[in-house]
Amino acid sequence: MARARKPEPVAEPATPPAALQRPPAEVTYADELARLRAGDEGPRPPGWALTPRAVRAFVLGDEARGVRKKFVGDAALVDRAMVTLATNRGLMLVGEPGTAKSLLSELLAAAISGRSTLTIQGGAATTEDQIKYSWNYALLLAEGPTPRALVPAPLHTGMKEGHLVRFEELTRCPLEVQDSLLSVLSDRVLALPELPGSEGLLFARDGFNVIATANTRDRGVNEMSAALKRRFNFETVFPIPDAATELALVREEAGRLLARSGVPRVPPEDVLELLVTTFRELRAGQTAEGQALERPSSAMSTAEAVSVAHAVGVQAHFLGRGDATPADLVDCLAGAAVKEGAEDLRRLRAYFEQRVARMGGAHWRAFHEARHRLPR
Amino acid sequence: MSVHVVGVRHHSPACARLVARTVEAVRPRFVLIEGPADMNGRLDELALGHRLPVAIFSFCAHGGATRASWSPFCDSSPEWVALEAARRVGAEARFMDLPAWHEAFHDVRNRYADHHGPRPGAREALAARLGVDDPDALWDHLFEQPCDDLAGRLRAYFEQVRRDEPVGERDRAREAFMARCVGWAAAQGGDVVVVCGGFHAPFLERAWREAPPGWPETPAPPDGARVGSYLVPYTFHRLDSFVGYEAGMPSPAFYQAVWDLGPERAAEALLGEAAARLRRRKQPLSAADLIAAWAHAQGLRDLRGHAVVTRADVLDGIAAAWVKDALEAPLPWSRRGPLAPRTDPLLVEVVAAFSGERAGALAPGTPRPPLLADVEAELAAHDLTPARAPRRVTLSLVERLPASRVLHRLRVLRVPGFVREAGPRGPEDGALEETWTLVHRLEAEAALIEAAGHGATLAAAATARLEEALLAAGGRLSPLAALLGEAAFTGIEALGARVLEQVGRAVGGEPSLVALGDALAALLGLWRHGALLGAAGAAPLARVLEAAFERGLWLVERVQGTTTAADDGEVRAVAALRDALRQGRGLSLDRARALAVHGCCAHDPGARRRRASGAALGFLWAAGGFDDPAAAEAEAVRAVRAAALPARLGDFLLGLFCLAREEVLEARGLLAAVDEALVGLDRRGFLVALPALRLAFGYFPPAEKERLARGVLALSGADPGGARSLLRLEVDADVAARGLALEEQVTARARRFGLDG
Repeated sequence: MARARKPEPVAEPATPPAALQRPPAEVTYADELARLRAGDEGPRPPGWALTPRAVRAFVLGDEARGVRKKFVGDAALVDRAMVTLATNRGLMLVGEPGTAKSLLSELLAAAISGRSTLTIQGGAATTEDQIKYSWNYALLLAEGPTPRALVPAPLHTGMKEGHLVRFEELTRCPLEVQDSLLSVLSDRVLALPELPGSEGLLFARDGFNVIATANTRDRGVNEMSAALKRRFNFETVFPIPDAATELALVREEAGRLLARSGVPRVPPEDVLELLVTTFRELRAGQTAEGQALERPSSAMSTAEAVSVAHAVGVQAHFLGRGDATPADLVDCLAGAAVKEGAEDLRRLRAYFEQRVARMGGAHWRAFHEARHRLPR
Repeated sequence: MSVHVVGVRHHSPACARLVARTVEAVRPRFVLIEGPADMNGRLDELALGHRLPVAIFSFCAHGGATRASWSPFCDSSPEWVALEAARRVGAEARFMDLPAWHEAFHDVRNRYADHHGPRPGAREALAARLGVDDPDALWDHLFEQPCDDLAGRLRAYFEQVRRDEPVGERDRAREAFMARCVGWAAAQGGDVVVVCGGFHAPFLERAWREAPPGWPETPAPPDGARVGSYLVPYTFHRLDSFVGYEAGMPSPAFYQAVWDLGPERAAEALLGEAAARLRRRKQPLSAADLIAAWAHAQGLRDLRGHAVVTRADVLDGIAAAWVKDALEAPLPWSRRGPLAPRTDPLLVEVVAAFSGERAGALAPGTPRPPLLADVEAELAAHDLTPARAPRRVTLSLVERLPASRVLHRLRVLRVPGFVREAGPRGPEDGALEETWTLVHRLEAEAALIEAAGHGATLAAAATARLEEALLAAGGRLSPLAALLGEAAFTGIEALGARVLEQVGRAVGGEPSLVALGDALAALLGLWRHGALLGAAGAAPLARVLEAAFERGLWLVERVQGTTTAADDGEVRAVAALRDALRQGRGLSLDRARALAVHGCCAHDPGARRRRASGAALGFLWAAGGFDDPAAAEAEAVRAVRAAALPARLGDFLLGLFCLAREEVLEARGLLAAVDEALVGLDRRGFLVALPALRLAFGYFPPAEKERLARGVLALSGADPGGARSLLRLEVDADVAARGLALEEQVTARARRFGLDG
C-alpha cells in the first residue's frame, strides 16, 4: 500500500485567502484537511492522500473532529463515488443544474488528491489541446518536440502526478473531443506521438482518475457515445429532498455570501420561506399538496435560491430600508426564474395568480400584492 | 429455572439463527413466541410440511366491516424457526400475543411489520457515526453479517430503541398479555425461551416476574363479530409489498438466500439472479458488467467495514456499475415505500429480482379456509352454482343486483369459470342487463384457496384484491377511474370511498385537460345515477367533483390546442365542465370563476386556441354568462365574423356547437351569420374548412339538422319544405368532398388556359 504522498503544494496565492473571491476547497478548508490527515490510520487506495473514511468525513462533516458538513446528500452516494474513483472507471456526476455536482467533485478532488484545481471546463469550444497538452511554439521551433517544449494540460498533469482530474460539463464538448478520453480511461495511458522513444507514452500514476459532471438540462448524457459511457460509473445527484434542510442551507450560504458583500444581516425568515417554497414548487412542477404547476425552463436550483437570497439581501441593505421584504424578493425572482422570455414570465405570473394568491399568512399576501413588480 | 428472552426483528435470518441456537442450547420446557394466542390449539396445522412462505390469516367481521390481518412466515422467520426448534428439542411451543381481533391490532394488517426502530433523530446520529443513512442498511450493517456476540449487540440496540421510543397503548396491552404468559411458563418449572419483537424484549425481561399468575385468558371477540384464523399460502411479492408503517424487512429473496446459502454467498447469488432477470428482458449485460458490479460491491464492503457484501452494498454496486443515465427518481432502496414514478426500469427489475417470485403452498390436509364455503353459499343463494356444462345467465341489474355483485367479485378475484359476456361498460352506462357464462372448473378451487389469503368472505377478499389494484394504480387518474367502476360493480362502498379520495388527489395534479374531462364526465355519471356507489359515497364524491371542476378551470386557461383535428377531447372536457355546472345540484362550484375563466378564453385571439375559444363562448352561453339571449347571440355573431377564415371557422363552430347546441338552434341571427361566413368562403377555402365543419354539424341530430336546413332555406327565400332533401346525400360525403376538389382543380386549369366563361 502506497504511503500517503504529501499533497502537492498548491501555488501559494499572492494575496491571503481572505481576499480571494473564491479560493479552492483545499485552501478554504486547509485546517480541516490537516486535522483529518493527523491520525488518519487505515488502509487507503494507492495514490490517495486520505483514507476513504476521512474523505467521507471531509465531505459529509464530522462534528467530533470539527469538520463542517459541506455537501447535503446521502452517505451511500459518497461511498459509491469513492469506490468508483478507486477502480478503473471514471466517475460521472449527473443531475439538474445547481445540485452541487461541481462542489462534490471539488471536495472529492481536494480530499483525495489534495488538489482540486486540475480542472477542464467543457464547452462547445473545448479542444484536445486544452485537455491533454499543447506546445510552447518558440521552444518547439528551437528544439523540436522535447518534453521541455510540451505544455501540459490538466489531464497530462493528473496522469503524470497521480491526481484526480475534474472535467466540468463534459457533455457540452463536441463528441469527438469527449471520445479522446477513451484510451486514457480504459488503458490509463496517454500517447504523445511527437516525443521519441519511451517518452511517447505517458502511463498514469496511482491516484489518477477523472470526475466528470454533466447536467441534465442542457444536452444531458444521451449524446455521449456508448463506449465512453461504459468507462464511467454514473451517479445522479438529486435536489435536496427536504424543505427544512434546504431552507437551512440557503440561510447559511446566503449569510456567508452577504457577509462577504458587507451586508450584516440575512433576509428575514419569512422572506426566505417564500423564496425556498417558491423555488421548490416551481422546480418540482407541483405544489406541496400535489397540484401540478408549469415548470419554468430554469432549473430553480438551490444554488440559484442562494444567489437570489444574496441579491435580495444586497438590494434591501444598500437600496432599501434594511430588512428585505417580499417585494424585494419579487424584484430578484424574475431574474432567476425567467430564462426564456415571455413563456417563463407567463408561468411565473400564473404561479402568483393561481398559487400565491391562495396561500395564507401576511407574508404570502405581501408577496402576492407585490406581483406588479414583475417585468411586463 | 431460567427465562431467556430473545428480542428479534421479524424475518431476520441473523435473528432466526440466534433463536435456533438458543433453543438448542437451552433445551427449554417452553418456547413462547410472539403470535396470535387463539391459534394455540391448532399449532399442529403449522407442522404439516408446508412450502413457505405461508401466513396465518385472521379476520374479524363486525358491524358490516371486515378487518384482515396476516402473520406471514418465511424460512428465515425467527418465529417459524422457534416453532421448528421447539419440536426438535421436545419443548412445548405456544403463541403468547393477543389475537388479531383485539383493539391492539386495529388497522394492523401485517403483524410482523417493523413497528419500531430507531427514531429519526437517533437514526441520524447513528448514521453520522456509522455512515449509513437508511434504516435497512443500518440493520444489515449492525446485525446481518457474521459478528461476535450477536445476542449482546441486539440487546444493546433494542434497549436503546426502547428508551427512545414512546410506548403506545397498544404495546401496553400486548406486553401485559405477553408478560403473563411468560410468568405462567416460568412458574411451571423448567427453562423458558421467549421469542418476541426486539422492542418488547427489554420490558418482558423485567416484567414477567410481577405479572399476575396464570395463563391469561384469550380476550373474546367483540359481540356479534365473526372471527377466524387459518393458514393461507403467501408470496414473496406480497411480503415485500407492505409499505410505510406496515413494512417489514425488504427483499425477501435476498434474505432467503442469506438463510439458504449463508451471508457470505447471498449477495453474489442475487447479483446473478438480477443479471439473469435483466437478460431475460433482453437487456444487454456483459460478463464485464457483472464483474464491475461485483468489484464495486466488494469495494463498498471494504469501505464500509463489512465482513460480507450486504444487501445495500450489492445494490449500490449494481447501481454504480449498470446505470448509464441520469436517474429521474432516487434509488428505490434508499427510501421506504412504493417505487417512485419514473424509477429507472433497470432498477425496477433489479428490485423485483431481490424481492423474488417464490410462492408458498399448503400441505395436503390443511383445513380449508372459510372463503370456499362462503363462495359456495353465495352462489347457491343466488342460484348461480356452475355445472360442468357451460350455462348462460342473464341478470337484470335492477332486480338481481346482489347476484351481479357476487359474479363481479369472483371476476375480480380471477376465479376461472365466470365470464361476463355483455353488460354496461361503466357505472354511467345506461344498460340494465348483463350476461354471464358460468362453468365449473377444477382450477377454481386452487384460485379460491389462493384468494383466501385476501379474506374470509367473498366481499372481503374482493375488497383486498381491489385494494392491491388501488396501490398499483399509483395515483394515476385513468386506472383510478377504472377502479371506481369496479367498486361500483362489486358494490364495495368502502373501497369506492377510498378510490374517490385518491381520485381527488389525482385530479389536483392531472396535467391533461382531456383526461380530466373524461374523468369528470365519469364522476358526473356516478353523481347523477347516485345509488351505484351508495349513500356513503355522496359526500366524498361531491368533494372530488368540486376538485375536478376546479382543476378543469385551471387547465382550460392553459389549453394550447394540442389535440388533433379528429379528436375533440378538449371540447368534451369543456362540455363536462358545463354539465357539472348544470347538473351538479348540491355541489359548491365556483360559477363566477368558471364564467370568468371562459370569458377570458373566449376572447383569446390565439389561432391555436380557436376550438377552445368556440367552446368557451358556448360555455358562457349555455351556463348563463350573458345578461340575456340577445346579448349572447350578438356576441356569437361577432365571434363568427371574426373567425370566418377557412382554417378557423370549422374549429370555432365545433367548439360552439358542442357546448351550446340547444341555444344555437334558437338563434336565427347566428344562423344567418354562419351562412354568410360560409357563402363568403371561396371554394378552396370551403374545402379547407370542410372536415372541421362536418365534425361541428355532427353534434346536431338529424331532426335538428333539418330544422337548421329550414332556417337556411328561409334565409334565401326558398321553400323550407325542401329541407329534408338537402340533408340526404346521394353519395358518401367523402366522395362529394373529393368531387368538389376535382371540380376546383378543373376550374383552375380552365382559368389558366383562358377557358372560363
